Amino acid sequence: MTREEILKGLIEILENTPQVDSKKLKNVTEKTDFLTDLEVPSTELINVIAKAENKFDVEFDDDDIDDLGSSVSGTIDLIEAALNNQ
Amino acid sequence: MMKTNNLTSLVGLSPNAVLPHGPSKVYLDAFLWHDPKVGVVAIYTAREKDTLDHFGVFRGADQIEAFGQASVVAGNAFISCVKKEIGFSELYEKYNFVFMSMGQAICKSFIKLGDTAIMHAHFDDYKFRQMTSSGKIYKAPKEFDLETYYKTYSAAKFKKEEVPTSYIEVSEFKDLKGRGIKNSLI
Repeated sequence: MTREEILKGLIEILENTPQVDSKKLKNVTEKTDFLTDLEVPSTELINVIAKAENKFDVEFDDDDIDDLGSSVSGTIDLIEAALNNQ
Repeated sequence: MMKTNNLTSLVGLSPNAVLPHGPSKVYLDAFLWHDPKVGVVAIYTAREKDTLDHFGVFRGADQIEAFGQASVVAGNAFISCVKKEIGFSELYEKYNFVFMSMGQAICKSFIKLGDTAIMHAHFDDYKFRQMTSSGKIYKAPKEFDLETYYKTYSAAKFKKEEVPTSYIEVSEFKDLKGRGIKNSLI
């Protein structure tokens, strides 16, 4: 799966996250930040990651999330690594 | 890695050993019932220091702190300890468990000097060391034997919020969130 496809999948998750303003999802890129650009509540980030587990059929460990910041690229890295480890 | 814990429940453990807080900030006296997947019952008796300069009443903010210590700190840290097979002190060398947000707080009665706050904290959600908890604080008549009562308590009763008729509801908290984060982030 390409990073572009992962990004598209993440945007679909965000489109289905009530706390996210869909108007802000027009030009999400790898440089976008969940908190500062999309204003995703920090408590909601965990749920976005959990939805990513389901969507991409991967599993993260608690420790995987420890160093995960709030950038879209960091989340794509996490998903890509999990996909590659399968 | 050597397994350094044989944790099965919070019951019987000293809150001072379970929580990362120093003694002056521990708002739990004991854990009376605990199901790691369901919730925890903990108690705290209001002391002089807790009601000083506050007309003999344990503050609502301190009730929230006590409730959070029982749930999103102790209940949350317990899960990490079991997963990692380590003890609490080893866990706190790397992580601390911080409040993130609070939904609703409804205060209905008072915990006064000498009253025991009985916290029923449900574990609503847990993912990646982030826990969401809701529940109630009660108080009971002084003569009520809490320890004996909770010895035979069950998850089924807990989920239905089945409590003795002599209990008085003091407060209710919804969607209290806390998360275990690396100490380096604090």
